[in-house]
Amino acid sequence: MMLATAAPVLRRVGARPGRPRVCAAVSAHPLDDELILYDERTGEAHLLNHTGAFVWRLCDGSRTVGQVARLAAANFGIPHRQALADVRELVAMLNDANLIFVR
Amino acid sequence: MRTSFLSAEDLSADASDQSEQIVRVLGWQARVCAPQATLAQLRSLVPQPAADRVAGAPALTIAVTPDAPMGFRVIVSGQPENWRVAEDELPLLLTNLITTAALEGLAADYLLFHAGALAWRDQGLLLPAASGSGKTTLVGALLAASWRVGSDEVGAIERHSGRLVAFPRSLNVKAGGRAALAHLFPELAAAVPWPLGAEQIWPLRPAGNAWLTSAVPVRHIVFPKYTPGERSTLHPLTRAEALAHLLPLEFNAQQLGGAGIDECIQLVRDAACYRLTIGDLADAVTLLQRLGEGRE
Repeated sequence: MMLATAAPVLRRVGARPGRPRVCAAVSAHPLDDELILYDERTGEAHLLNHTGAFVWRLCDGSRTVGQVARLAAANFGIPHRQALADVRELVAMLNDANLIFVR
Repeated sequence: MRTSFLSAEDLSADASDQSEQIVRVLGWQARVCAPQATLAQLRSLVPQPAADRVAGAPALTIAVTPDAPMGFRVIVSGQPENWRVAEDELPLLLTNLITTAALEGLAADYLLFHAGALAWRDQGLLLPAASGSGKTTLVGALLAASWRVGSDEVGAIERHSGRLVAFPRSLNVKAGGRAALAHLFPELAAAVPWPLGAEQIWPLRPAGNAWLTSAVPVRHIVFPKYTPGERSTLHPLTRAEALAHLLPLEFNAQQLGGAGIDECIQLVRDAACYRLTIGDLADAVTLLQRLGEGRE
């Protein structure tokens, strides 16, 4: 599963100001400039590109989606509005795949 | 260490009495008590090393006893359930029981993938794929092209060396594969299928000298997918893409945890990784042949 390029766009997470946090059962393994997420509960692996990997590392439960988007906007030099949409989409997909939860 | 395997022709069956056979798979072994004819069939399906190199007690005992009117009862040590099967179902059932138990018993010492495994001139090729992707058919076609065979189903990598070794058992050819391989292996056309659950299997037994007999480095990891009507093509994968495809196909990933993942990362770092679309089988073999010879 290639999350960073998956098509469905979910807005569930973006509708509330939660703080995304990675699940303990998911381990992250950098390889070149991408990140492989391995879910030991299911045996499934997921691939994030370097943009997705940046967002993943910020999902430690201490930041809101908006705060993650601000850091992403600054890091990649893109408008905050675009960063917010992208981060919401990615966080929703990760949440839907049970790789993170939003509290 | 090099080893060699007895071919089916080396084995003879005495159809009379109950007997006992130690079945070895890499460093794991089982004791099977069954009619001699069944044991002879089992040896032809799970080629045994020509020389003894495993000591110690078997990890598993399987007892096969007559059980009228069905045929036979199969009892596995340590397991509460048993099987009642017809005589023609015995060999493949025993092979699968042994394979499943061996995968568990070998999990600490090998990375075990749902994969075909071959070698060309001591360069290993891993073909990881889920069931129904065309692994067995592709392995059979490469066998006909003089590749050394490790397995059509289990890619076994020594954890201590990172090298590919054979997990020898006959190729379980299904109806589609039989049609595709019949011109390469005329014996498949004439063979009677063996039942395995709801499926029919035509076992294809590589000759004794066709097996991979030494550990080889994995130079290529190719994810095959049979796609009727498509052109056979080979697409490079990034190492991260390859790893994401590989991990779900590792039988013992969950047992090995982080250490196993690190070893998989090393595996994809050391290999060139591709996705193979199999339309025409002969074209797919040509692509892999070029890869093996360094011409791709």
